[in-house]
Amino acid sequence: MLSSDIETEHALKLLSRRHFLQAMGATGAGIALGTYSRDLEAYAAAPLPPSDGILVVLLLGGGNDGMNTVVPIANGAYYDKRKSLALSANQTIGIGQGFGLHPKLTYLKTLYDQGHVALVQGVGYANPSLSHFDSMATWMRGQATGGSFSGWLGRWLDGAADTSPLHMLNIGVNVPLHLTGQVRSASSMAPWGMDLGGENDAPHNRLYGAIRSLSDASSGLGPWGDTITRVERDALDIGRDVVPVFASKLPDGDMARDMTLAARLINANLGVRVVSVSQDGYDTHSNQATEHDKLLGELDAGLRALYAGLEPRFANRTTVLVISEFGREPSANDSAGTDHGTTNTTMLIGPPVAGGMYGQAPSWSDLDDNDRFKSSLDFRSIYATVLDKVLGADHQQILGANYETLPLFSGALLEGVPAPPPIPVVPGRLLPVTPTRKLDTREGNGGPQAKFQANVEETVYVLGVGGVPAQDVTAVVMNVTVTDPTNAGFITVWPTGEAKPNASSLNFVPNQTVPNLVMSKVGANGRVSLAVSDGAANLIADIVGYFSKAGGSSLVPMTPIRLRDTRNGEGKVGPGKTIDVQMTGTAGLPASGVSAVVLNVTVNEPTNAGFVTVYPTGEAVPTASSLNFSAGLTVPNLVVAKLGPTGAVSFFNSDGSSHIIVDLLGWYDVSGSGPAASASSPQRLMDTRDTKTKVGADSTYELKVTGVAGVPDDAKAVVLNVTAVDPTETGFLTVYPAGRPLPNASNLNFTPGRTVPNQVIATVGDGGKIAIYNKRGTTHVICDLVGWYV
Amino acid sequence: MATPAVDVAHLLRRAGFGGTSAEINSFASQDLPQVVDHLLNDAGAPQPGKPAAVADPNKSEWEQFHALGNWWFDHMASAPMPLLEKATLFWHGHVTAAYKKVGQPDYLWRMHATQRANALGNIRTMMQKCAIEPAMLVYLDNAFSVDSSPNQNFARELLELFLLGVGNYGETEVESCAGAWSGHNLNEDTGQYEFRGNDHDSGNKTFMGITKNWDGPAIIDFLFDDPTQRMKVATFLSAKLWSFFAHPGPPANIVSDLANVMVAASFEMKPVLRALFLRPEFYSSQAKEGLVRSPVEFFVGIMRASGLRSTDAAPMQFSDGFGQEPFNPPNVSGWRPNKYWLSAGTSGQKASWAANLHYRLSDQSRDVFRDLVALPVPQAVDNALARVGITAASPRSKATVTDWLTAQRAAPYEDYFETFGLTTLVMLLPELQLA
Repeated sequence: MLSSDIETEHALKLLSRRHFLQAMGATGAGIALGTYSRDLEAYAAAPLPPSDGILVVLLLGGGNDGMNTVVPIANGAYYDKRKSLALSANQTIGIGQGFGLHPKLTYLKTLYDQGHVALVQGVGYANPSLSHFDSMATWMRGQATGGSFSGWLGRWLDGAADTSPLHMLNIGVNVPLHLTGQVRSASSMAPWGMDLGGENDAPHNRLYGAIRSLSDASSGLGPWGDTITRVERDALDIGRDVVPVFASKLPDGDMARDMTLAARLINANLGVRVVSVSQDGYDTHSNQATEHDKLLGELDAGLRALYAGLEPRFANRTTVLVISEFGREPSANDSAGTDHGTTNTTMLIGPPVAGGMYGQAPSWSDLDDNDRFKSSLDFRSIYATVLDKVLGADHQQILGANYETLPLFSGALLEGVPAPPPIPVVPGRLLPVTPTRKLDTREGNGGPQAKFQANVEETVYVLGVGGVPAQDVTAVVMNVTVTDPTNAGFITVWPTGEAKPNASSLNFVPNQTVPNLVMSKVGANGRVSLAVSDGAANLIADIVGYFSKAGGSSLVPMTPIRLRDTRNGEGKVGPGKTIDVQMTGTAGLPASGVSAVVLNVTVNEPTNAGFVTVYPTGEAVPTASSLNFSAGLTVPNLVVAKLGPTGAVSFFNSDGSSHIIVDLLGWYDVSGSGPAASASSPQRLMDTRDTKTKVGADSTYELKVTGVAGVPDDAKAVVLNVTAVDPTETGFLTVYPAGRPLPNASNLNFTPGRTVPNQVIATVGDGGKIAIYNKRGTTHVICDLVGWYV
Repeated sequence: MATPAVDVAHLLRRAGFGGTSAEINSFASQDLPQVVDHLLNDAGAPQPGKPAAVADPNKSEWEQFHALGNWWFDHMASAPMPLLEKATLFWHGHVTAAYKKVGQPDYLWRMHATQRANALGNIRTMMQKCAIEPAMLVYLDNAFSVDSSPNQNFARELLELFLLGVGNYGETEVESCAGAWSGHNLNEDTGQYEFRGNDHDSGNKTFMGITKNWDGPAIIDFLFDDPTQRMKVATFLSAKLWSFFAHPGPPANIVSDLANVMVAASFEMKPVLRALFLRPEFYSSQAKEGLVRSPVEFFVGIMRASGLRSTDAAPMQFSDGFGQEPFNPPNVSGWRPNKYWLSAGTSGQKASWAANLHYRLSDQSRDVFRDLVALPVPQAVDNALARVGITAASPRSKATVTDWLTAQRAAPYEDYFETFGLTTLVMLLPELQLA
């Protein structure tokens, strides 16, 4: 039976160790109230040493079907036994050697192509249990022989020198067995944030001091009583330290949210070494196809979110280990599902990983007595490798035996994973232009022929040339590429004349070429500023469009559609060659009225280093690049492309031969049905917490939004980030024009006690006001202005 | 002969959700067997009907599920027979079904009603009835299990989790049991169990060495009748009962004694619980200090003591964050004890709940501790502790609250913080987190 219970004797050990540590610290004895200070005191969260590997464990609960994850597309037995559940070769994403990835694993494929994914086949253990709990407990304990209820990572934590409760974290409210040691266990963190320790005023600090002092000496209530007070103290410490991690909105979807949180916790540099995230629902006894699609889609989004969120200095030493308690049976059952199996494929992902296929794929004919797969590799060999290579441990001490390790890690830090670019979300009116180069430090174009130096601001004049008018321009859209950087770091782009924000537009590691689409307000004198954070780097900036007060097109997002994939029989695009892709009248786009499209363009298996330029069909190839790449690497980039007169877009390949894949994400409507946008630096318009008066149930709060915070009196709508804080009921807010009827819609839904933000475009009503209606319970409301429409 | 008050208080916490000082003093004047018999006497216990909200077609499935959970919280907080509620909670975590898979709050209610009706009755009856509850048929995939390819989910868990435990059966038993249960399906149109003979495996199957045409219910009967198997069932369930009511890691001799009582009583619950509550080891410090409150016990203990009901205490809105949502266990094995409930995350959630409770009530000027601001510190502290059900505070907890309140009241212009701070601090005291 799976049990994460620490037996009482272990709780006692936990206590004696904790009390020892405490006695060594600064906390006084006795029951006098300690003053709770935000200064780091007895407990201190310290950064990780720069060479320490970081581990993210991803538990797929229920038993993932490894055969439909890494699909043996060359194996006829798979198709015989899986019948309608089998994925055809065409449905999968081919990775060679007779295997294809599940179609939802597109980002995993990107990482695989970059050499960052190890797929280990035939993993299991002797005499496998088919019980979820028994088998998961076996995986979680990770011991040579059964026995005590402690987990493999928990035992590693027992011996870790860093005693901070942040060293190992579970995203969730409980601590699962694999993170529970003999004398220590991981901390847990709810994905909606810590609710204790985050405030910093005199009465809160006095209260925290009282809660903290409960653990200064024994409660006299037994080992569990003392464990309780100690855990509450940990909650206070963690709550204090992770306040910034929850400062900005987390993405929707549990996996993307939890993995983003993992990335932020690691980025916070608080000494987080191991994070565990779980995803349940893989027990697909029935209706597997739909469920598995959904789960793997979420998993892929989670991986994307993790590496998009991690700063390069952490990304390049973060490994994800994906495990599940077992695989499924070879044959499908009669409920269009699969029953509990044995052997599975284990995945290790990340820049430190030496990518490729490992282990031995299980035979479909040589099955065990119950017609299930035979394992060829004990999962503890993988644990041993991870313990030794990522966590710097001696695996024999932790696992209780010596296991053969595998060459799953390259030994050196590999190239960082490029962060996928975010879709530009400013819903304004775009005027696309033929790409125009504004800056190329390799050529001395737009500035001196010299690399940008760390933290030196350089400015680029973006108005009046290359199709961009001298007037009425509010923001520009640029493709910014970094190349030949000497160090890991990031690029910041901001309006000239404003303080440099603490934000990054593009992250990179040494010697990497990384493009990204960047949108920036235009600053003083028609200029935009750029700076590199570390070392020196060449920068290239091409303008692809601008936002104008004088009118333009508005963005219509779409469900992504693949328009072209040269891997489908067409063959690679040769050097100096161009392919044209029709946009209007296809793939759901109207026949006219489209000024530009938003594309995700991917270059695959390029034979040489080079670039792709995306430009309006019918025009000459401009001196600009949409996507730069090195030989052999797969590189995606978001591209905003102006259409030619026939409604088509051309793709020019500069050097060598490359596959080109074109995905359509959205288009710009020339009718510009939305008014023009102005971007603003965020400003707080309202915070009911200041007056300690919540917005009541079934009541409306009116807020003047014009003539304040720089919003002009004739603004037609404002773009707000609205946040509900501490709502008492399940309910929603509706933001609508003051003086108009309450619409039957909600802008932001919440449940009690949660903090929920959302971006809202609110039409201005009577008296320059908007109305905020709260349906049920009471809630604090915060409104931050981020832009407006005139 | 009187019973020590500390033992009575312990018994009332474990056989229910805690008693008031008056109840403890009253029972302390009686013999322990008298007290236990009183607690076990469920004559006249109300047999509640389906909560109206579960049948309300204007409510979404999710709203019905929440209403069902809140109804049970309120019922646990007010029921005159708390041991019946506690025993129902035990079975709720042992023979499980989860909203996240089943949906259908009506099915969940029907299985709950079956468990409630048999929680202190006969275990075999309970198992036979639960096996064909629509909630169970859906949750463990027997709803459409047919003989050509029987689904093993229910068959496996019946043996592993409900009756025997790992190691007491083999894969042959799982396969045969799955065949025996094939055709015991759900009619989705009527929402009723239905036996479909055409889809039932009526061939010979081998179960525990006996080859014959096994049928599903006959397998359960066999496990309760066969002298060898029934002792294994009794041992497995006795260990779980001791772990739930006394402490995890039950000593073998106690398990063996309880199992013998169980078999002798033909699997009636009351004689087993009577023996359990009369064991001297039940009153050992190992037992008294051996369990952390589950979130359900935490809510209900405070609700019973304070008179708060779900409209104010909002247990269903927070139980997910606390890690224990009734009618929605994380998996078929139910919930784990002790360390499982203790983490920085759950501590933070408790603080968040306390703050929410405070705001919710103070908005309506009926804050749970509002009247205490007029009392001197010692009386305010005593009242606050008693109001949430702490009948015997540790000196350390009491001193901590007293010192904090004294300092809080000495701070100028911060009186607005007093009831909020008191609510948060008291709700985090270790006494409230221990079962």
